[in-house]
Amino acid sequence: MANIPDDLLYTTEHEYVRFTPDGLAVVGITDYAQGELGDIVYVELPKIGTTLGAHDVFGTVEAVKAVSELFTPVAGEAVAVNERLDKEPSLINTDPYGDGWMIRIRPTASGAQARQGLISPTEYAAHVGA
Amino acid sequence: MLEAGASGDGAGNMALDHALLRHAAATGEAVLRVYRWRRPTISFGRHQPARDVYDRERLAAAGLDVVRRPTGGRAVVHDRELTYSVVAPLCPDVDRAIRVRDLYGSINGLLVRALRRLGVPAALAAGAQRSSNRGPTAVGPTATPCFDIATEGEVVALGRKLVGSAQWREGHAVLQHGSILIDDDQHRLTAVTRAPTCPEPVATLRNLLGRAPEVSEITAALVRTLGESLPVGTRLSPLDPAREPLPELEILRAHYADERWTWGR
Repeated sequence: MANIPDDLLYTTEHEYVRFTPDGLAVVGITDYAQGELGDIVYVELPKIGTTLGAHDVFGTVEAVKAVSELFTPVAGEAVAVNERLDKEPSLINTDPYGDGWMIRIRPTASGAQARQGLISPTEYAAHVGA
Repeated sequence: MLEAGASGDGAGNMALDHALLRHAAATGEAVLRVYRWRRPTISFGRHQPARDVYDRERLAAAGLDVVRRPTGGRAVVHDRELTYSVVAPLCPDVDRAIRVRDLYGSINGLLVRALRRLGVPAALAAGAQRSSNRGPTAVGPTATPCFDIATEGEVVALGRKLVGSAQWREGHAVLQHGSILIDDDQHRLTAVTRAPTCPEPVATLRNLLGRAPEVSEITAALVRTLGESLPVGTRLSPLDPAREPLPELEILRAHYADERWTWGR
């Protein structure tokens, strides 16, 4: 059973977003997605400072047999990337919502506008049939 | 749809696979393509380090071209083999970035049935295994040759890897391509790499059948098996480039011929 934390927002592309008190959006892929992809062996992330539009491809993730695109859930600037994933991509499998986070975005918009297009935990659970 | 094309060069082969992927996304049509390589070519995995691992002078001396695939995984020598590719549309929202194993299993299952039709004792690997029991498995995009390790769901025969495959998912479509070994050329990687490698023995159609089947024979088995696997009412027809042009083919060819793509990492 995939873990879908209540305090996050999601995309139908299987990214999650955690809005933090400092106004940033922490982005990664969901527990469901990592389970479907299998063992993750490589992650390609953007450079810090990259401007990302909503739905832009912000990177790629390579599982043992497949490379998939990663999509930007919140438009803004990438202000941090998880450099640990360079050496330890399996953190995405073991702790997708914690040490397996991918990028931190400073959203261009604020408030409800930044959350546009994101879905609730309940909606995401329905989306993946959980 | 079916595209059984002539041999192309490395950039041309990768560009056509990628253009067909975009064709699948745009039209909703799936395509099986079977092809060979004009010259012996090493393909690197999308994220595989190459610049500090492969010696370009030795590659030239060995008569080996190089190209970097859109798909992941590790290096493959394409010479005495047959390459297949399958592109298929994905349902928006539902299928993208997931169900890798389902699709992988379906395509590899088709390969197994086609190979069995030829008399090859092909099967799907139960889990990650080296071709011989020689140390731990490594599954990342490393310098390790592709055919050294068979991961779960890959096509093996008598415990050794026979087909190496990988996927690339872009937009609303997926590409899976792979190499079916007729003879073993994978040891040629040893001569051109700076990394210490000792390739594992692989399975080949020649060893398994006692002869090297004609490419047309393998292709016919694939097409017949595919035809039997399709839902009733599904039409299998040749891809007609005149009727269905691939507008991005030349742009993609330039991309795959670009040294920055091939040797950028």
